[in-house]
Parts: sequence; structure tokens; C-alpha cells
Amino acid sequence: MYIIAIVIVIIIIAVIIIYNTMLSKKNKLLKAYSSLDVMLKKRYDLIPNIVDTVKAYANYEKGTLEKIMGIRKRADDCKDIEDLVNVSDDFNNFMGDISLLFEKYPDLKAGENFMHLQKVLNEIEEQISAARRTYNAHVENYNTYISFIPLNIFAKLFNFKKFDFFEINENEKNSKIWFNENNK
Amino acid sequence: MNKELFNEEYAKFYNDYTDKIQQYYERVGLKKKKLERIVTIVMIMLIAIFLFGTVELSEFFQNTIIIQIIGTVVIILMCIISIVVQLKREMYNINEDIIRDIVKYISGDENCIYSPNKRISKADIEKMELFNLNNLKYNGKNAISANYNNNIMNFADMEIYYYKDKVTEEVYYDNEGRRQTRMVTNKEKKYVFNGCYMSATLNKKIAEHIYLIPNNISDLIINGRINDYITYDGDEIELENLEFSDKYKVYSDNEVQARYILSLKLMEKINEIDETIKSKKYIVFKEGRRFSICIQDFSIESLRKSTLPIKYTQERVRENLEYIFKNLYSLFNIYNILDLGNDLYV
Repeated sequence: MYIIAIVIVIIIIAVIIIYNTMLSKKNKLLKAYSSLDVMLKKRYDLIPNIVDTVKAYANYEKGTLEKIMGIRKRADDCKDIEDLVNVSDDFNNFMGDISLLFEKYPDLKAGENFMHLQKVLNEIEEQISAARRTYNAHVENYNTYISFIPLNIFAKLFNFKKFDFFEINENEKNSKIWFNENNK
Repeated sequence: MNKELFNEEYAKFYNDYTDKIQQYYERVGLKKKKLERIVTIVMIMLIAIFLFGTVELSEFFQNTIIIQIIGTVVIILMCIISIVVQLKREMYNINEDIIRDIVKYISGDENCIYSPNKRISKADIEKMELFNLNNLKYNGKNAISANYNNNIMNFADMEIYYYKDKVTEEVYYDNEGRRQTRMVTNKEKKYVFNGCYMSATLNKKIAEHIYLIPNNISDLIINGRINDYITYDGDEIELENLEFSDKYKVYSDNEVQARYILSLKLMEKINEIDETIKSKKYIVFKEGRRFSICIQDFSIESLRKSTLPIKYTQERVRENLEYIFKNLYSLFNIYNILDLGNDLYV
């Protein structure tokens, strides 16, 4: 009788430990997600400055401009990592166009505004990269943990689901430093 | 270190420096001649005293020829040793001048400072928040400060140590001649760190302390609790570069910040530094922009004491100069490897 009671107590303690570990790993992951989200929003906050710098050279149609300016708002509405990646892709496409514009008009590059913008943007990109690496490291850690047998059974039981990695597209990989010719 | 680039730099330096090193050797030659002259006069005087000396001396040595000969030989040996010691001291002085010249050459800073007897300040060690000075003592010398591409780089030999009581059994004989033993406590110096301290300005803003601690730190601290001596804090962060993670443990309170500073590129660069300077390193990124590297078993003192041949031979002088140049170059080259002048970092 005592043995059964001890076994039950051990099982309960084990389940509590497993649950708490899963929860702690998930919380760390969510914290990393929120850091990433903050960094990405910081990046989108620069859109008006970028548009201001290039508006004399780029004839944006009203619809295009609205779409660009809407990126920040869409970032606020993101519910999961997939939404974040989509918004990030749109931003990267926009930055790709801007880079072409800078290539076309070299005097744009010489401006003080541009130099400042380039520094700020690169610093934010570095921070985003760090936040993304942190998030992905926690996703890997968490996903691996909840995949172990028999932990996967408890994960299903307590509704701990796998998270997606934040993957960057090729465009972003190739242009780590925006507007820098050496990195193209 | 790029070997071709280094060879090119060194060849350029050596060509410019040949005349100066000859001047140094002339200085040694003059000193040697002066010493020899003084010593010869002293020797002649002493030999004369021994041979035709005063009554007191003759009585003291009892006028035996053997004692006179032994005395003369001892004096000659002492004179030779004295010349060698004096010349070695002169060579150290020359090495100091050479180190100063090389630092000036590499950094391009005419106002660079090399103070052989100055040590790193306590405040600098405390700022690192790495070594616990409540339980440890520190010492050092050979402080170098130079402005290299608008980045103030400081180097200094630094030793961090503590004294450990060592109890040994000592044998003695009491008044009655019996063999006895007693326990004697001696102080033994144990090093927590013995090497070179370096600090420079990073091209990124650092918001939190980040510590890079060598993986096998327990090998360095024997017979002591690590936390009593090394005061790093924060969570351990596992980074993506395996080669880097094999060598360092990273601690910080802010994981995103740590990854921001330790970008994939920077980890590769730190690996590159490890290939150039193979000894173990502690690296601390402090709040602000300054960072410090403590390189174990690397000292400027060993450069200062590197043996220059007393007689000038071009080949050996070149070898010795290359040794000093290579080591100082590898220290300054940390700036280039880490690409500290690049504002648009990756």
C-alpha cells in the first residue's frame, strides 16, 4: 500500500516538474518573441523617415505609399510568427526597392540624412538579428524538449504545441547591411 | 594573423629600424668599454694590494700564495659577472626602448606611453567586475597606452593571486638531541590569473555586462572555490558557433544583448584571435563601449627580458626584434581582427 502511495507521489511530482519545465521554457520563448516583436516594430517606425529621405526621388503612387506606411500598423496586428514573417518580408521588399533607388541616385547616399539613417537602420538590423537568434534558440530548445518520449505525451495532454522558427528570406540574408555596396 | 601581411609589415619596420638598432649597440659598446676600463683599474689596484699590500691584509691572508691566487681569481670572476650583469641591464633598457619604438611604429601614435614599472589601476580591474579583489591581490607592470586608429588601447601585465597556507612537516632535534617533528605553515602564492590585460573601445553600445569565461576555468583555479575569485554573473547562454562554445562559456543577464554583441561574425573573429594568440582568455564587455581581454600566460615582461645578443649579429638581432614585434603586433592586431573601426558592423 505504502509503495503504491510513494509511486503515485513520485509520479505526481514528476508530472509537476515536467509541466513547470515546459511552462518555463515556453515563457522564455514568449519573452524572446516579445523582444523580437519590439525590435521589428522599432524597425518599422523608421519607415516614415526612409520615405521622407527618398520622397523627392521616388514617385510613389498613393496606393503604394499607403501600403508602405501600413506596414507598421500591420505589425501591431500580428498574432503569430507567421504574420511577423509576412510583414517582415514586405518590409524587405520595400527596402530592396529603396536600395535600387540609392544605386540610381548616388547623391542620395552622400546626404547627412542618409548616413544617419543607414547607421540607425543597421543597428536595428543587428538587434533584430540578435532577437531572432534568441527566439530561434528558445524555439529549438522548447520544441526538442516537448518532442522527447514520454514528454510528448504530457505536451499533448497539457496542450503545449510546437512553435515555428523565424526564418529570414534570401533577400534579407543577402543584404544584411542595407545600402552597403560591399555586402551586395 | 595574416602571415604575408605580417612579414611585409615587419620587413618594412626592420629596414627602417636597422640604423637605430646599430645606434643602440654602439651605446652598449661604449658602456662595455667604460665598464671594462673601470674594472681593469679596480683589478690592477686589488692585485697590487694583494702582492704588495698592507700589513693588515697580509696578516689576514697569512701571506700564503694560494690564498692570494684564489682571492685574485675570485675578484676577476666577480668583475666579469659584474660586467655581464651591467650589460644585461643595459640590454633590458634597450629592449624597453625597442618596445616603445615598436608600439609607436605600429600604433602611429607619437604620444604613446610605455611605463615598464607602472601597473594597471585598481579601478580598471574593479570596473571589469571579473576578479574579486576582496579575496585576491593584484600586481602588474609594463603599462602601455596608445591611440590606435582613434581607439585608445591599453595593455599591461597583470597578476591576480592569493596566498594559500601550506602546512609542511619539519624535522628538528631537541636539546637532548632527539629527532622531533613539527608542523610549519608557509604562505604559498597561487595565481588566479597571470598574463596580459588589454582594453579597447567596441564599435557597438553595450547595455549589460557580458562575460566570456574559458571553459576549463577549474584547471586554472586549483584548490579554491571559483566564485570566491571570479565574480561573473548572469545566465549561461548557449551560442550557435560550436568552436566558440568549446572554448568559452558566456554569461549575461540579457540574452538578446549578449547575442547582439556576440554576433555570428564576432564569434568567428574571436576564434581568429584564438588562432593568433593561443592562450586562454577572459573577455568582458562592460556597460558603455569599453571591453577588456585578459590573456593568460602572455606577458610584455617576457618581451622586455627577451635576450638580445650582447655582441651585435644581424641575424640574432633580427630574430629577437621579430619576436618582440610579432607579439606586440598580435596585440594591436586584435583591433583589426575585431574590425573595431567599422561603424557599419555585421
